[in-house]
Amino acid sequence: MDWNNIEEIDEEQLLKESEELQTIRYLTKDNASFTPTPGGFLSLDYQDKHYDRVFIYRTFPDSEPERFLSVREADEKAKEIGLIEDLKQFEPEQMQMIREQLDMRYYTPVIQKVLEVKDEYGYAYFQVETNYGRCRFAVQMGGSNVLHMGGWRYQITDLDGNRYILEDLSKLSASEQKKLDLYL
Amino acid sequence: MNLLLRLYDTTGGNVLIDDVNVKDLSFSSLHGTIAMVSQETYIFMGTVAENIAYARPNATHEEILRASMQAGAHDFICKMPDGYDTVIGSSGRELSGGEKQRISIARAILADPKILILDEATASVDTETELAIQASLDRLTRGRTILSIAHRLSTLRNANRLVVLDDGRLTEEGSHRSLIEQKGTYYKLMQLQTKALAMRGLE
Repeated sequence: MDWNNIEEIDEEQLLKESEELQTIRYLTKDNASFTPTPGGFLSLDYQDKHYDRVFIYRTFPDSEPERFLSVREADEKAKEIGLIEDLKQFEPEQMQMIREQLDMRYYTPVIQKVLEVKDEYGYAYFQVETNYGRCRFAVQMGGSNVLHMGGWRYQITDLDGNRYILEDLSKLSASEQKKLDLYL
Repeated sequence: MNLLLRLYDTTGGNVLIDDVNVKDLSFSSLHGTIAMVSQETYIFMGTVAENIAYARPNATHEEILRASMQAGAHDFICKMPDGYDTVIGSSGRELSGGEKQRISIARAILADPKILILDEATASVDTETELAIQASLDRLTRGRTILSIAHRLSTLRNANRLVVLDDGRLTEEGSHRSLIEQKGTYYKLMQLQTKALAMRGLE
């Protein structure tokens, strides 16, 4: 082994990675353009590069749902292309396209009525009415599947990873609250 | 490190920062100057953003994002369904050791301390992430002092001054190059670790 080469780390590469880590690349209406794809997704043209399909993530889904949106490549690595600082800076048509993508990604039914909750062998079976209609789902008890989000707000994650929001527990009837007592 | 932070006080000798005895500094002044990233990371109940902004609660979202990017934490945070709003800590979402450590590094970067202590700070992250974080940390050395404790010596090779402690005693001191030339404990450990990495196809 050549010990004289021990210091020969690829500093240029490290510096490049460091720059990439530290640089926030903002996508603006002047340098980025989104186009709908036939499959219902979005393609992107950004700084002379075309992306056939991109994913859009909210970095702060609750506190800043339309700011600091992370635009990522649509593959397994989902490398970040850049951030949208404020969706409102885009033209109305582009804004609408992006909002539709966000609605798809962050589809979260809001529980309006609790019809029935049963538990069996460590699983709770919910039958509820949501803003998208009636549905049934199963939740594994324990862990972090039922999260208290502060105040009267709860988030429930079912076995398939689908999430449901209970906006205000106090607004449910006494009998509904009783049904949930064991699980929240 | 405990003596520097005054978690304990010396029974003999003094710990000086710029010739000022740490005992002559107020705790708020001392602790406002130093941030520490340790192997054991404390995550408290709250969102990821709140955890990162612990030392600077008024930090903007952009500052939180930038610190996370520097710490190599941004990607895994973005991929969580609630991103920076994800509730972590007791009864929240569980994080791996490496994820906790990267949040801790982001917290320290955002605190922007004059003295940064890294106590096995990248021990729980993979080699690729460690290299990227190390490059960020190297840039952060400008205008501040970094005290780094590590068994993984690759994280220390750019240090201005290396101190080898063997069985509680200071046995070697100098730059990476001079310690390699000495062919002492540091050289042997470096040799072992480089061989181990080579066997894993990483060197």
